[in-house]
Amino acid sequence: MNRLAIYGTSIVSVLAAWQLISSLFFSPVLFPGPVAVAERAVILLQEGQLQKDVAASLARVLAGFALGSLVGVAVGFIVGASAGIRIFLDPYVHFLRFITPIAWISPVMIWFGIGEASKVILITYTTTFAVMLSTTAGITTIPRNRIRAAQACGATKWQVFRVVIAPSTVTQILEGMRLAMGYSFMTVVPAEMLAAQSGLGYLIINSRLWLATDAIFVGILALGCIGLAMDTIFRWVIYGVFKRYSTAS
Amino acid sequence: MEGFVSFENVTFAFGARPRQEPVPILSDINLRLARGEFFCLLGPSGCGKTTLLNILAGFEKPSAGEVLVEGRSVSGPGADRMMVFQGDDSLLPWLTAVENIELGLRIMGSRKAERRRVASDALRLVGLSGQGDKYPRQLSGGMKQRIQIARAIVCKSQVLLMDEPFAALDAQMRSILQDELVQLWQTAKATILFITHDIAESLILADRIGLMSAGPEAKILEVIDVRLGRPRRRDNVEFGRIYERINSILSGEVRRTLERAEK
Repeated sequence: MNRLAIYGTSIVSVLAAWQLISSLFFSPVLFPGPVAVAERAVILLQEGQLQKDVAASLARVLAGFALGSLVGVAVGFIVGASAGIRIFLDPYVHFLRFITPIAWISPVMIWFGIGEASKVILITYTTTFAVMLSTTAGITTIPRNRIRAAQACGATKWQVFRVVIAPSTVTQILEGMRLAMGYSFMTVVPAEMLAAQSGLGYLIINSRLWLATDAIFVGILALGCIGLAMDTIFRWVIYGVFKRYSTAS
Repeated sequence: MEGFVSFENVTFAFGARPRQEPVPILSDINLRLARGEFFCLLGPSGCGKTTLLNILAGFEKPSAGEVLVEGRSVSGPGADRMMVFQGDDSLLPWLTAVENIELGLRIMGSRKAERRRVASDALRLVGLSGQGDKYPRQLSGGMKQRIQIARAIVCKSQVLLMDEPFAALDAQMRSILQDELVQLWQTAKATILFITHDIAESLILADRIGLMSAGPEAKILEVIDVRLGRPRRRDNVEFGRIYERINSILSGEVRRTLERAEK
């Protein structure tokens, strides 16, 4: 209860400060207040433009994220199971980790064109890394005696995986996916800015041409809102649905 | 004698890769346990007691020699040799106490109702009735070791391997669990190989005690028959006499290692 009251106070006071600062010190064209942004959001919603852009960005993120999570978990388990493969891949992992997906936009567009495929591929790339790293970390930190206890009962490899390894790693995999969701949003926006005719990144870059600052803010705030919603879902899955595994470390 | 469990010329070395000098841990161990015997392995820290236990469990392979259980060579882990581990990190934290006890039964594919019945019986046997729905993090160190013991006995293994299971407990809890373990062993009629560095503990528990030399290349120095009645009492004169004898052998071993380290 108290927590909700603090949340409410926080949001109201930040919005009020924003309105005050924008109307006192800036021209509304340069820095629109929340009221102007809300008005523009309503217009964009009525036109159906905002829904279309949100749907376009979300579709790209979800497709790349789902694909990247599948690949990341699969590769993470393989890498986690074998020290040889881990050492073999180690230099590339830490090399590629520092290359932002944005740097890949150019070659990916040359190879795959400016269609949906190139955006989905970039998001898949960024997701795969985060999920793979957290999966591998999850596997390599399982106490050896946990696995041995199952082996001593005569467990097959598959049983060890199902009874010990999967439940021991589920929280870390989900936490990795939660991070990857954030990275996916950070990837989709620049990709849409450079090569797209739809999506929130396109909305933001295109509105700049018309100096429609209020529409730019609508795009930026929409990104934050969707991200928050996604993160809330992840927190609910990790600490609600899979709660019993989240203390397993 | 034909042993129920026998170590035949077991040698073990770490890192036996090409161009690398292997580190010798165990050298030519021969040991035979009779069926139903309670055997304690006693030796200085780091001498390779746990390695010997892991070889019998099937977690490690000997560099030479072999281990036989009922005449069959051990080639990997199996439910006929359950292990009680030293710490609590082998319990699955997302499972309740009773679900942890069911682990072996679940792996062997027994039905849910059946395994719940067996696990509840085991829970009662280790004195934890009413605690079955708690998670490991809600249980004390002593309770967690009882869960491990219950998890091992529901598998009806013929051999129980125990790796200093009471080492992390306070003295009172340790002595309670020692007495309980002897009672469980007498009812279950299992063969137990128990590792400890606590001389008094081995005298409370064991039929025979194997004294190990300090590593590297640890050997079994001597096997002592503990001819004391049960239940054992610490104030018994004979208890004190054997204690002193073991203590002087092991202290000599530890002193020798220290001297070797100084050179």
